[in-house]
Amino acid sequence: MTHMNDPLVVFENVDKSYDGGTKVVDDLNLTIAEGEFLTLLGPSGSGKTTTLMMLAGFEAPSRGTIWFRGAPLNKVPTYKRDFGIVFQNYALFPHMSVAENLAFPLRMRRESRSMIEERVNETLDMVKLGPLKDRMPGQLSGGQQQRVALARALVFKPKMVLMDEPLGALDKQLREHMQLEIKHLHEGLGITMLYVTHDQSEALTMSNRIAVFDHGRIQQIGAPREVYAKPASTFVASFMGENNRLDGRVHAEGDGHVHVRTCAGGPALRAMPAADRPAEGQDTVLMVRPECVQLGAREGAENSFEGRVTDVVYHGDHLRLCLEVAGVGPLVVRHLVAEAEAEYQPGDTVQVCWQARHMHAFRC
Amino acid sequence: MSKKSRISWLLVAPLLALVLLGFILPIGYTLVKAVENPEVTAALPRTVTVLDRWDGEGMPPEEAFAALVTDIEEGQRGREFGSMTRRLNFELNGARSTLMQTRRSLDELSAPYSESLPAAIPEWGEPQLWQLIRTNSNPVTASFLLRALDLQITPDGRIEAVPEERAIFIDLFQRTFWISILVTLICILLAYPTAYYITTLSNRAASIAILLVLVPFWTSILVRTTAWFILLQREGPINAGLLGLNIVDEPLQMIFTRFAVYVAMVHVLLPFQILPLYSVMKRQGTDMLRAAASLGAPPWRQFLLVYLPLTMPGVAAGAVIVFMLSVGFYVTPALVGGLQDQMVSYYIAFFTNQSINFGMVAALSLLLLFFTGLLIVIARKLVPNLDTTIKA
Repeated sequence: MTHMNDPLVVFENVDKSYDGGTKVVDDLNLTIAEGEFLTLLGPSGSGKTTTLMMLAGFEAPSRGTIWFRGAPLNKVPTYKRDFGIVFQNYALFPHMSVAENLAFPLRMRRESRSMIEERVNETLDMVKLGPLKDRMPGQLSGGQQQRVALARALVFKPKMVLMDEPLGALDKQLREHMQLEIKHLHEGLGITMLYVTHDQSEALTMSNRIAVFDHGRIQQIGAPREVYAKPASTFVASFMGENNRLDGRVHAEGDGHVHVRTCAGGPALRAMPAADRPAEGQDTVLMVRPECVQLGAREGAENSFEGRVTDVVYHGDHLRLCLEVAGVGPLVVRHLVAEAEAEYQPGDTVQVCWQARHMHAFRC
Repeated sequence: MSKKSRISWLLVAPLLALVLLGFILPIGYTLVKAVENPEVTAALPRTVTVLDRWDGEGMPPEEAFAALVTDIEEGQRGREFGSMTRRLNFELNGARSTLMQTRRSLDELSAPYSESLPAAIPEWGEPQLWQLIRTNSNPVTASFLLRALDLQITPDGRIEAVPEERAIFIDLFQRTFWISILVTLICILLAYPTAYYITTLSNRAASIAILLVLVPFWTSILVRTTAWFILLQREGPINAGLLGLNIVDEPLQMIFTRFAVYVAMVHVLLPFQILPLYSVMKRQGTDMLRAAASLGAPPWRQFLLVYLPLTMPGVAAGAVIVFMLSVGFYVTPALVGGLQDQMVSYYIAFFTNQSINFGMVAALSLLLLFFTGLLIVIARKLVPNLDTTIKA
């Protein structure tokens, strides 16, 4: 009997290099728990897809071991790994109908004819494709092909499902719909899923945990809230959503905050030091999210300034105000239209404030 | 007609003209040539008219003998006489010399010819030659097409098989298609792994490999065949090598054998199989194989159930080209094959250049076209989606 949170897959000191020099994946240590939905998030070339390929068995690690339920996986060929894989381009067999595509993994496992038929129908109903079972993949829309690919990866009840940017080719609306559907499938089936994407909102929507990749290394791994609200590095902070970035130097510490003066030389800003905290006298990078900066003066806000509006952009549900704050620097503020109390014009002077806990100070 | 459609007609007009002049007209002309039968009527107009009224039983009337003598006298210097003798000789061996002899002895004949002619040349005393002339007064004949199938029309109008020692054409067609099918199969077996191997190479190496595949195209088929002639001959380097290594005691007979024909034809035709296969395989990529592997298919099932079906369009396209080309092969078997290895084209050339019998040329060409078409239809029945795979 396995329980959620038991380790299912462990990457131990795994390197991958194609040319013997540059490491695409660099000393990766990662544990995937039984039943979890883990997303590997990162820009292209960050090593996330290579990690998935190694787990799938399409690439061999240059060094290190991948363990599956305590047994080394390196020498096991893909076809014996029993992982369902959803490819970016779906890789449906064009010469087989939808039903034959789904039957393929079951035929490989020598299931009986009646069993195959039952499972294929059941899985097609699950992804709401029952009426299309006799179509050829070429006759389906992109969204339908995506569902077939998903169904084919699930139909043989694999030990886990790997997905490589499976929603990349869909339009925004369909993508958001499929995100929820995949999430529900995960919750309903309880199957372990490893998902690779470069889209942070996708990662935030679906995952139990997110591993942020850059330069072949995991920069931060944790629950979506944690990664978003408490980024471990300037890379994670800027990759996950938008951030205002200010350069400065720590000149004091106190009551859990660091006091930072920016290069513009204004009054000190109060910020939360990141895990890798900058020491007194060191240069630092400050990050604060546009939605954390509030207009007007609020009580309890440690940082409060006056700024001049340089630009106003209307986004329907929110406004983006570009400000120039004397002694701090340029600042972008995201302001909900529903909460707007006034019209803003370039040249207006406004009051802005934010709490110290929303501003993170990173070592340079 | 709108301006647009006028312009598009103008644009396709040169091609239409080319197809009409280079394809439809020659084939139509060949069709006509294969059944046309004008020689006897042209050379013996009076005889033909008289024999038309004869019932073919017993001997023809005196009238016919007189008409024949007049016709031969009148037509002495014309070309028609020669064509007619060749035409009749094709149907009945010896007819030509009988007619020549008749022409030479015209001066010695006197009426009634029904007595003097058979007296001088006994063949005219038999109904056979007369029946032959009567049968071939018909302007249309199936005799060439029948002969190309080893059948003949007897002088009294029945269809029967030609004597065994002269029956060569059925065997010839069988041999032609058998060689072509085997060459196509060998090409597929050699090209498939080669094309696959090229897809696994780096871009640079692949373009060099494709270049090597293409180099033979730059030399004429005659040169390539001659090269095989040199390699395979008794004193050639292959035999020298085998002798030198003591693998054989005496030179192997390789030249003028079926083996040499296969080797040289496969060599000439292989690029036509490799190139379409390579382009199909190149497009395939690795994703389908990876998908099959992830779904639990071991390598041989990945190949059999996924890769092979998906690369079939390349196999089919190449095979059709190779087969079509090999059916019409002439130079290669003529140079490196023995007499028993010649294909239909060899006899087409023979009837064109040696015996100048355009009826047989046309009949052989037409039957070759027909059998090739038939084989393609059968292939389409056996491989249900051949059409779609070729289109893809």
